[in-house]
Amino acid sequence: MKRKIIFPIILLVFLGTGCEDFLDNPPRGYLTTGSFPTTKEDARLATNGVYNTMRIWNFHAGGFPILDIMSDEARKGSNPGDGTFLKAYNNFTFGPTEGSFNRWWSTLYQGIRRAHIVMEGIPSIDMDKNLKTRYMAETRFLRALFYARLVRAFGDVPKVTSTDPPTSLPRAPKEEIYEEIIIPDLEFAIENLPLRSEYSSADLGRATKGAAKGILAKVYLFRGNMEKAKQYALEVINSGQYSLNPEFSDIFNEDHPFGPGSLLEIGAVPESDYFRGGNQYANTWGVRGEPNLGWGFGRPSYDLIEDFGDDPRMDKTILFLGETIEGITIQGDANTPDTTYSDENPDEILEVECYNQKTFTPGDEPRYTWGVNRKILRYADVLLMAAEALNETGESGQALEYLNMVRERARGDNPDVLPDITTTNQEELRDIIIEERHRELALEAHRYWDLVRTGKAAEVLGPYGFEEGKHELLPIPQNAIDMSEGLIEQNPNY
Amino acid sequence: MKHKIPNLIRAGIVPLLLLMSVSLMAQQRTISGTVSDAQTGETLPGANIVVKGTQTGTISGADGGFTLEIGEDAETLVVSFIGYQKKEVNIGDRTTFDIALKRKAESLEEVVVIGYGTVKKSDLTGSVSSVKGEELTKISSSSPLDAMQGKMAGAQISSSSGEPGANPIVRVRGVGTLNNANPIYVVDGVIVDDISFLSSNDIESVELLKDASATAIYGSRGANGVFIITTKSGGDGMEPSISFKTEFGTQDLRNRIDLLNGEEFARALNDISPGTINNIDAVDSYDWQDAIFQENPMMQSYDLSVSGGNDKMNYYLGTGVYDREGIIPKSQYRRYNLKLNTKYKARDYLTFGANISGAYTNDENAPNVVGSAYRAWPIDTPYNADGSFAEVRGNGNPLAAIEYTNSTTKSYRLVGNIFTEIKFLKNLRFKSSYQFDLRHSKNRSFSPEYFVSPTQQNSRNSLSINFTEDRRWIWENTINYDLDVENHTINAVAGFTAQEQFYESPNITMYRLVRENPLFWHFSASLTDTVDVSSGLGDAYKNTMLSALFRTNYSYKDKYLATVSFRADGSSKFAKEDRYGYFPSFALGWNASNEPFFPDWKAVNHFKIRGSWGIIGNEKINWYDRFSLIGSNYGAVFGQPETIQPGATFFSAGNNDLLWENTKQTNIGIEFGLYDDKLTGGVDYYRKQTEDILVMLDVPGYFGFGSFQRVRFNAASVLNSGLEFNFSFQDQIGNVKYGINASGSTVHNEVTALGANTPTDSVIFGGNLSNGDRITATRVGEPIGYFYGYEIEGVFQNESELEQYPHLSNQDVGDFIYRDQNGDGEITPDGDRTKIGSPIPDFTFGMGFNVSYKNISLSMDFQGQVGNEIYNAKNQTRFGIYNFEQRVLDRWTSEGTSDYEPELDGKAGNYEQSEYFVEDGSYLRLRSAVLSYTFPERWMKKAGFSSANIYIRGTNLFTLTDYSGYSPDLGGSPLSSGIDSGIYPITSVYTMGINLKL
Repeated sequence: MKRKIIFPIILLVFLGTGCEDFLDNPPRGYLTTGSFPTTKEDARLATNGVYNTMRIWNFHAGGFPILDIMSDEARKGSNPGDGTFLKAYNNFTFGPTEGSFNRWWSTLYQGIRRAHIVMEGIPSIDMDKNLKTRYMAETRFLRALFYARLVRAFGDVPKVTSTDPPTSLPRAPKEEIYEEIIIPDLEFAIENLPLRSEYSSADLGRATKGAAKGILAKVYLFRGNMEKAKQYALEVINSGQYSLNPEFSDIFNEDHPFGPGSLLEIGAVPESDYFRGGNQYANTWGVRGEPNLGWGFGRPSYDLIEDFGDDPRMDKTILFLGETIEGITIQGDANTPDTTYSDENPDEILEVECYNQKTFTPGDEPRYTWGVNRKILRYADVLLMAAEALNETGESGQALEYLNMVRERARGDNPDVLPDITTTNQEELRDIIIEERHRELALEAHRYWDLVRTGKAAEVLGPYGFEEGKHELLPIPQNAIDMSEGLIEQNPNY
Repeated sequence: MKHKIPNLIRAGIVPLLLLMSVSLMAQQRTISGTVSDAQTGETLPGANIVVKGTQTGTISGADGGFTLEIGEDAETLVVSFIGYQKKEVNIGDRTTFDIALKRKAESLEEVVVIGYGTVKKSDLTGSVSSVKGEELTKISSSSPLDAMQGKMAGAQISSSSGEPGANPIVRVRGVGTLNNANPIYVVDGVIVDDISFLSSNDIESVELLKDASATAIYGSRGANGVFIITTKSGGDGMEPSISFKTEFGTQDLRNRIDLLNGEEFARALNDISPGTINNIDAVDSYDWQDAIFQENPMMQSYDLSVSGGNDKMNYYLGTGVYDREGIIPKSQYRRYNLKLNTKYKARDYLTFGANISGAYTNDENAPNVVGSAYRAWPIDTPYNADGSFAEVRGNGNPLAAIEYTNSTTKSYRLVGNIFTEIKFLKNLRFKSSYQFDLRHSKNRSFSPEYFVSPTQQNSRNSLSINFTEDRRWIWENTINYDLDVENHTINAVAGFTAQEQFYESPNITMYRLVRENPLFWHFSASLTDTVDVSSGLGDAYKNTMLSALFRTNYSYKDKYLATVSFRADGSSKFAKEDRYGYFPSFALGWNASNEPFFPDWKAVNHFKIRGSWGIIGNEKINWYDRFSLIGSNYGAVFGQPETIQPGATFFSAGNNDLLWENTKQTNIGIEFGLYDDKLTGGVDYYRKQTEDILVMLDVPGYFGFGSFQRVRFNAASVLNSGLEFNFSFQDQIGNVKYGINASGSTVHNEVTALGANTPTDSVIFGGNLSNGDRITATRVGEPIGYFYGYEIEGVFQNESELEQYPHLSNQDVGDFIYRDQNGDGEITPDGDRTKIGSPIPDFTFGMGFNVSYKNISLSMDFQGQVGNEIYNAKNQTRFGIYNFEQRVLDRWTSEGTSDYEPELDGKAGNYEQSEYFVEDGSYLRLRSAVLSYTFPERWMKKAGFSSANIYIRGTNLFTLTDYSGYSPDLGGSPLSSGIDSGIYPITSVYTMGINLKL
């Protein structure tokens, strides 16, 4: 046993002669979490890092447009042999093991961690106080956005408020998340964020007071608090910061980023690489085949086409085969049937090959589609939220004003369509507004939640397989349940 | 050097000289004779026969015979041969001599190389498997490890990819960790983590250290076993010996996966969605496996070595070329290697030496299109009418993937040591050795602009170059103490070592080269000034380690043996307070057959019992595992016009509390030799308990590390126990010599604990498939990384069965009935998935037979394993409609048609992870068969060679297995083993070769 003692002693002598340093090898080329953010520049980098979350492919409902496919606006898309696992979203047969949920869930929490890095790091940085407060407000705005998406999709979720959460965390009631995180964060953001017009042109696209109010209006709308929804929506409208872009299709044009009606959109540049500013969101939807712009997932449904009727927005929302746009003729995919008929009834059209025009970019290289700015909150959405809240609070007259603003823009120079709505019957108007949202915001991932929150989902989506009491929430990712060893429980009926 | 005339020249000149000498020196006379092995009677070609005290001498020929002119005054012949005891023979008046040499180390006296020294085999207390270098040249492979498959009890070696130059996966005594389970290799004292730079021809012997007594001297790196490789050296007083070997041949792939042909596939499509193919007779039928595998890829190798020495110095110089094409076009591996071992005895007390290996490899990597050929629709053909590549549904056009992938890795590696040894005082030796392992490699990949289909295209050509620099050095200073007095023998060694590794691997991509031909595959050809520096984890790091070591072997009367060893390691991979690990071991041995009271059984020549206990470690984790890193490549886009503004944020999570992983191993073994050592063998029982296993774990998504990010924890304990045996029998009947050997190991692998302080303490999931499923689970009481999924009870035959049994929401009549394990009336992933197989074999074995008659010999080596399962992941992971395996021909189409093969409906319900995808992985493989002919000596003498033989050889001639894929021989990391996601198939190799010795 003596030897056992002697050798560590010899080793210590050896090490004692300055060799201890020999074993210290800090990381090369990387900062570590303890050493960042510590400077003024770090504060900006870390805040930008929170925005960066929104360009991660998985941020968009796990990557594939499952929310649109689950609604009546889109089908799986692509060609029949590709991505067949997404068929489960056509008919509500998905289960908790399908990877989209885990990717989405993890990525939203990833953004939340990034926010906490800023919130924990920058208070002690010696820098301009106003800028510091703005970064804090931008960050808290984004954290609220991420949490709002989590609770809307999954209901109760683990409540994480620091970069060092406990290793076993159950789901917290979604009310608690709203009351303690989402609403306070948005209120802080409203208090401290600049107006859109107060940003320099180089910083356009950062979170604004208007965006925070708009998101908060939406949060209240989803919670059925129509007074508050109305209040915040009207504050946005009355701020004078936003207007409807006169031309509907300009909203989605890559040449018009952060346009007059943009409250929140995800900036991206046409680089087929996330690190260099690309966003694969539109590539996932892009025209498959000729021109070759992407994978073609999320095909506009035949129901959507029918719902549009003579609405001029159809032509600006859906790219049909043979359509020529900016000098490019859409020919589509050779392996996708141009028209798909029902097995039972050969005359019944199930799908026609067509694509989402809202994500279209001219050119014939898929990388251009990586430059599409995904719209999170548009002024038209705020107007329709205001209309809806006003209608619900008995001010249908004023509701019509905002509703008809949206219809007027949609009408363009064709006076024969989309006449002004005049009814003040609350129930009638309620339906009209939801259907207006359907056509105005088609393929922008609003429809599914609009149907769920208004209780229309069973009626509209029932034929596709929507089950009441189950599909109002998505399943908690199986992964999260497995790892919690049962502490995290599944949503009902999954 | 005693012989100044090379053999080749002598062939012509010697007769002439003889004539001259006869006429000039009439007092000389001629003697002749043969040299043979005293035990076997085998003749010994190449033995030295010298007249004592003169320069006169010769070498025995291929039949062991010699003739020699000697002077009248010659009194004594000194006969020597490597590996044999030197013998002096009185000449007297005799003119013919039959000289029988005794083996220097009659197996028991054999010296075994162990860490930091050698030990007489009879004194060995640890568990060590050995294989001789010549055994390693018995198969056609670039890797000596391939050749060890089935030859070393305790080692499971899987050649998991048939890609030329691929490194096999090696596991010693089971999988003791969920972390990196690779052993280490010590080549002439240099510690390295792989031996791809070595040619089998340069290897003298390999010892595998298995138990703690043998491996604890390597401390923190010993837990997964240690291969000690000794390369060839020149002997003292040896005539330069030149050896040349060449081998060439071809390969083929003996089996195919049974997939649907065009017509069968069209019918399947119509089952999935009726009416897809209207005219089934008109569809194409294309065999994608035939398309991607080329005919007769060649292999060739050349090895040339020269060795020699005298009492002051010796040398070995070996050089070789190995060149092999892969079965997939555009894959080829070429290695040019050089080995130089020299040793100089400058003074009686002072020795210098160097052992240096250099290798240059040129490795062309084809894309792995095995998976896409498996998935490709057989009704699609590869080319359009205009000759361009056509869209192929499934997973893209495999031929286009081959065409448009251009990836070559060129690597340089220099491994070696320089050392000096000083004898001082009495019995003490000081040795200082500086070891180095320097690697530089460069991968150049070029992708032209092309369009095959929306999912298979490249809109602008691109060139990527990845540089990797990996520099390692170790400085070892040791003192040896050897004492041999009367009945006591002591060998002790103590020392310090310091080591450092520096690694950097930048990767650069540029786009839009002005031309696409290979002359322009350089950055200066890029039309853009944008350099894409993709951030990769771990692009630069430095690891360091300091160690102290000690060992003593004690033997009393060659009967009672004891070994004590200890090592302390400090590593920079752990935080300051957890930096040091201590690794002791103790062993005892008893040579029972040396006892006077041991019965004088004629049959038993020796019998030894030994036992050991010790602790060994595993530090094979990444430098960054303890650090949480910030990435600086996370910008956001703002502004009119839009520009990207830089951003930085959390990148990867570390764990600063990591501790050493350690393994306590107990070993008990016996060794015996029977019937004059015609039958030798040994049996070992071992028990390895590994604790604080360092493992990467998924963490809950709410930690916010992002999808698929994992963190390392000390999270588990694993027990491995088993029996190992090896037997060898050699005998001769008349002119027929024959031998049989066998070795085998059993492994019982069981997880004994999953640690606290981790996100999950009851289960670890692993084996991530490309669809996000995790197919392996690791739980207490089960083997590491077992497959888990649904069990299948049958197929729903009708609506009433569907109502009767629980099922998933996307399941219907014709789909699998999954077993409701927990009986809750529902099929749920967490409640009903269960163990459906294990990738860990119960038994791995090797067997060899050899027989020779006069000049002809035949040897065959078999190898295999029993009791493991394979998960056919390539069949399960389907993102779209892919081709199907032929088993679907038996599919359910209507009630009563099948109760084991479900319908094809294009839904995911039957593609949940289930036992449907689990197959038996047992196999028996004829690893090698060699038929060799040794040319008669008289012919060779005329040609000037001392010996020559020619052989034909088949490697991997056949494999008996039920597995449906190309090869059941799959490795993998511990949590992700035995999963076939489309491996590069292993080929059968047919070669012929020539060995010439001069």
